[in-house]
Amino acid sequence: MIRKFNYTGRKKIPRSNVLVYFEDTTKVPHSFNAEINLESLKLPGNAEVWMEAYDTSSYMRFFFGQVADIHPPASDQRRLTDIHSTDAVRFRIKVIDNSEKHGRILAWANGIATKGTQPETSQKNPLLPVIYRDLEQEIWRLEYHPEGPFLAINQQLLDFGIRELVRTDNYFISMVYPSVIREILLRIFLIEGVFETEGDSWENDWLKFATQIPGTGDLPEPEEDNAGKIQNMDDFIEWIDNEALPAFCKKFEFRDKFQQELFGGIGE
Amino acid sequence: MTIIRRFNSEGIKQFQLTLRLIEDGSLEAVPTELLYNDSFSEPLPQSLEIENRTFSTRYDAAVYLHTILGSLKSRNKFYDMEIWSWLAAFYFDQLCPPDKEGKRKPKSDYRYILNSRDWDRIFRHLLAGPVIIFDFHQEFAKLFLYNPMDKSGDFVIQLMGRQEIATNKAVIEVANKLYWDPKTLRPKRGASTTELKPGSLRRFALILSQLELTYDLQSVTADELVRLLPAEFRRWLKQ
Repeated sequence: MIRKFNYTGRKKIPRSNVLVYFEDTTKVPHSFNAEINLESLKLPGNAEVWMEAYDTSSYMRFFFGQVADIHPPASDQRRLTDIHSTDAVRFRIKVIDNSEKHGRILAWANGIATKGTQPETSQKNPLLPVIYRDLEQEIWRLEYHPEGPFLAINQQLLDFGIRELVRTDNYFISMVYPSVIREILLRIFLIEGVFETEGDSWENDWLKFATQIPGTGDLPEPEEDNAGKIQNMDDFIEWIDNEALPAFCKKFEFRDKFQQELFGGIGE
Repeated sequence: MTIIRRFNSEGIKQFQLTLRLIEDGSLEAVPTELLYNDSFSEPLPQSLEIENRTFSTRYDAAVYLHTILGSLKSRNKFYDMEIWSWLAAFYFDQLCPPDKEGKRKPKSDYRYILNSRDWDRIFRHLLAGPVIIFDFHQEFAKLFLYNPMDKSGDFVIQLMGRQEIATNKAVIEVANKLYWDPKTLRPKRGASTTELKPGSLRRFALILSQLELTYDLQSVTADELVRLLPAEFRRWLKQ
């Protein structure tokens, strides 16, 4: 099993301690705000707190005061003016030592999604944000970023209604999403080497999602050799094929929906 | 002088088709009709004029176009697909010059048709890329723009692909200190190699991604960043 070590001494801020939300989505570009709780991390009071907004192609940075006195900049200075896609925007928080060892990151969290428009109306973080890119002759592909997978759709199809198709079209959904789930789960096991639901990473979030689908059996127990290499990878592949995928397709009734599309709503 | 225009969606499609036709030899150049026919493009709301002058480097083009397009009031003026794709069609002779056999070989579409959604593609656009780099880094942009109009070069690929690095003034200042030769007005010899040689550009990009795990590179100054670099970079500072 691949284990990740933190040699930097940097503390990890639980994503649940940082609540990011849009203030008013009727105004473009959106303005965001964040509720930040760093009390449990025992960070120096004079360390600086920065919020960074980013998507796959753009980036902005906002000063949120110091650990002992966290305060957002004025509302008009929190507009995401340089962010190209607020649909796929993510946030990163950094706590930085600028007094002793200048510029050293003391704590951070990455890949924070917004919780909608207000903190009390929180929504679940989208597991698979959709982004639009020039894919030449490809229709879709998965892109992997540090914060997780994105479903990239060919932006040249935007004028032909692909945005709506991705959300609601039963043909598209029933044929694309099972492949998406299979690829992501394969990647988690074969490339990322993550086999457990516990944790704060995107891989853990996806495995939690898959194991919580009704009808999915528990994840196999990883069996490691002396070098920490997984010996029963086949069990995980079988789990995808025989447990996770069938349960996912059953939950969303893909065949029925596909059949409805084929026969104009008249099932057998 | 010519009034700058912007493509509409049909103009973009036709420009794309034109690139294919040039690629397979059916066309030799961008047809004038594509540039000036109202079915494919329209003048900007704010009338601006450009000259079809020949630029010896990407830097010269960036300075010229930055001065002219900089006066546009639009917030996204350097990222506007319709404007920059039209400008690429206008300067196509220089962006895709004929080879020795007289044939043009267009490269990927995003070098001519601006893909403003993907940061790593924005910089590959042969006109908008240089202008944006110049807008961020002014004189230090020469390290990225010393070459002819149809080349983007390894410095752009290694350092401009991620916005956090590309827009970081300290990083780009240090890259200049390490690799720019003010006498020859070109990067120092051997800076850009395909191998990971000590102190090379590729090592610099790699070291930056390692430093980012520990340091907030937006907070450090150029001098501080130099002090954080391993000893392998010293000889480049002395050259």
